[in-house]
This record gives sequence, structure tokens and C-alpha cells, in this order.
Amino acid sequence: MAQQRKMILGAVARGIGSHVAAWRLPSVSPGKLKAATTLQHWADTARAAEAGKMHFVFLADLLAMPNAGHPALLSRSAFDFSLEPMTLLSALAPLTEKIGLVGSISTTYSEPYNVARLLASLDHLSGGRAGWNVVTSLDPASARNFGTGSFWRSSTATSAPRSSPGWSRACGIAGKTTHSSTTSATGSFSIPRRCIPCGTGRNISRWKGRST
Amino acid sequence: MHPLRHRSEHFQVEGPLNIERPPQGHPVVIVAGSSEGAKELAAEQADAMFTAQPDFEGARKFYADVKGRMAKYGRSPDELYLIPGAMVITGRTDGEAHEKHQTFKDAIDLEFGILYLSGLAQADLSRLPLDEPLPDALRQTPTWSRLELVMDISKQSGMTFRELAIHYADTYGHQFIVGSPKTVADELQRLFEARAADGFILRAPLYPEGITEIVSLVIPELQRRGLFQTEYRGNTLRENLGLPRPGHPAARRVEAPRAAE
Repeated sequence: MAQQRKMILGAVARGIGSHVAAWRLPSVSPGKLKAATTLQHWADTARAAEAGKMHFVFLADLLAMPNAGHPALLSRSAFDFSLEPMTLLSALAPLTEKIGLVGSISTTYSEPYNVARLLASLDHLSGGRAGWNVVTSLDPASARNFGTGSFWRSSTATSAPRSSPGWSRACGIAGKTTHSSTTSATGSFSIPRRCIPCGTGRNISRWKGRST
Repeated sequence: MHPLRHRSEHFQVEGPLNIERPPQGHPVVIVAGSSEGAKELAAEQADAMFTAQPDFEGARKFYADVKGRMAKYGRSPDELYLIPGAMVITGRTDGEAHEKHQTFKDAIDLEFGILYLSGLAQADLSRLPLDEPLPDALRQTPTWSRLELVMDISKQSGMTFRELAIHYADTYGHQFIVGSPKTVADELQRLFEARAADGFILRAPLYPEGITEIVSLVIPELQRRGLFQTEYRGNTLRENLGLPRPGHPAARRVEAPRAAE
């Protein structure tokens, strides 16, 4: 008799939550938001999924701040904590045993050799638990962070030289990661320098004192 | 040693990679999206496909469409898992789950919702009256086709613009399931058994709490129904997904090309 077909189940892990208003909940404290960039936070999610025998934990990825092309929208958005997936999954590998570690890597701005090395390394480090979600990055906000591609001419960010300091300036690393950078034409980096929610919505006032 | 010596219009990679062949042969490959290109690539090469399919009939058609494309690549439909995303908000009872959902809904910034819909429509909607349905005339807007579905939801449910803006921010166009373990399991089972999905990537409103709740409430219910594993089958992700370890590409070049077993 044929075995009963069974479901594949994966768990998304994504910062504070997948709901657009998670960061605005009264019960979500600044401390909890801050914790969303710690390894502990992501390990708790991955281990919870593993306790449920879920097949994999999945990290989506963007190469720009979400809504970066829409200053008004960005100013009312959660800071979308997003650590680089291969780095994070490699850190989760020794903290988990069986669960698959799946992350997105965009092919648009990556060389095949780099992608192959990252994935082969994760597969070795995790004992064969790596998965690659193949995505492209065709949005203008991502293009503006790489100084290349079809949006080259339309972006002021791309005038920065591709040398390291120029590059990091273009990404906003050396500049600002708080709400003040969100209207900057040079783009904002999607990993916080310090854990400060990026928004100017009404409810953000409670964090304003913490801005850099 | 088998240098890759890849040459194509876009990439030239000499190889070999300076890392030993990894445990899985190569990692599990997943294609995300719902475009024509994504469907074709998934049918030809992927082990799994992630997609957003908010409604039942659409998901069934999508499933049949993608699986139907596999034969021409010498693949059988069970060599690719179609895994749509689903947000799950659960509690011990339907009432508790809906109450939880309401706290998230209440926290939504209305102006964000309006800006978000404006972005999709590529038009400033902020001057439209909030307590009336969206005017049908908006359908004439050239870029509005992207929101045709949203307009339909609005019309069918009689939602006002205010309600629609909140609803869209709330669901983001994903499968959205709120309820007790039984309610959630019923819906996942319905999609699974109707061949609208081979499984799901579950999204939670809050991490890690939401995943902990899914694991303590919904998964035992799925396991009781025999729909979900109670143990991992192996050690690697491929083993756990029941996927074969791919042969070495160099070996494949020597032998005649054939479908994976």
C-alpha cells in the first residue's frame, strides 16, 4: 500500500515578525526590537521550528531597505531587520541539528563563483542542510545600492566610486541608519548600525530619544 | 579534478571550486515567484518552488500549470514541491486566535495602508473618501490592473477604502489563516489534498512566539491526521525532503543525459 502523502513544512524567520504592524504592538518593547538582531532571537525561532520537526527555516532577502524607493512609505515602515542570510544560517548551523537552512541569494548582483562558495560552505558546516532560494533583484532600489545595472544613470548613489569608502557611503553604512536617512538619495543600509527602528510614524516618538 | 570551464554569454567560470563537493552534492535549489520565467525554471530545474497564492482556485491552477510543464524536461511531477506561503495566527480556540489577530489589525497605521495602495496603483489615493468603497472609475487607471484583485475583494465584501487599506496591509496578498488548531489544520489539509500545495512556508506575525504556537498547537493536529512527519527521516535536507543526491555533473557529461531517478 502506498504511504500517505505528507506535507512539507518550512518556517519563515524574519526579524520581529511577518505582520506589518508587529513592531507597533504595545507589547513589543524597544528591548524586544533590539533583540531581533541577536543570534539568540533567530536561534529561538529555528529551534522552535526544529522542535516541531519542520523541514526548514527560511530567510528571505532584499538588497535594499524595503520600500526604499518610497520615502513617505519608508518613513512609516518598521525597520525591517534583515541579517545577511548565509552569514546568519552559518551561525545557526551548530545551534540546530536536523532542520534545513534555506536562504535567498540574488543572482543579479552575485557572481556564480561567490554563490557556489557560500552555499558549499554552508552545506559543509551544516552537515548537508543547505538550501538556496534563487531570486533576482530587478527593483530600482537594489540597483541604486550597486552602482550598476539599468538604473545606473538615474541614481545619484552611483556617482560614488566603487572603492570601499565610497561604496560604504553609498550604502549608508558610514552615514545614517535612522529615520533621517530614509529620504536620502544614496540609499539606506538594511542592517542597523545600532538597533533603532527606522520610521517617523506617530508611534515612533517613544524611540526618538535613542536616535544616533 | 573536473574544472567547470563554463562559457556563456553572461558568465565565464573556469573552476574548479576550491571547496570539496558538499554533503548534498549540491544544495536544495528553490525557485521563488509566480512569473512565467519562474514557472519554467522551476519545472526544469528546481527541487521546490516558493510562491504566493492567496486564493484556493488560483493556487490549484498554478499547481497544475507548473507540474504540467515538467514532462517536457523528462521530470515527473513529484520531483518538484510547490510550497506556497501562508501566514498563520493561531490560539487554543477560534475566538482566541481572532482576538490575537485583532490586536495586530488594531496596530496597523492607516496612512501606511493608504500609501501602500497608492504605491501599487501608482496614483495618489490619499484624497479619496475613506468611508466609501473605492470608485469603480479607478479601474480605468492604466496601472490599476495590478490592483484588479484588490478591487474585486472590495466589491465582493463591500469594504470601504479605509477597511481595504487596513485589510491589504494586514494580509499583504498572502494566504492568511486565523483560527484554532483544527481550523488551521482543516484549511492546510484542504489545500494540500486538492493539490493546490505540497506543503507550506508558514509565516508568523511575531517571532519566535508565532512559530512556537504553530509548533505546540497546529503541528500536533496535523500529525494526528497523519499529514505531517513525527520524526526527521534523515540527516541532510535532501534526505528529509525525500530528494535524491544529485550525481556529479562530470559523470553526467560522460553518460547520456537522463532524468533523475
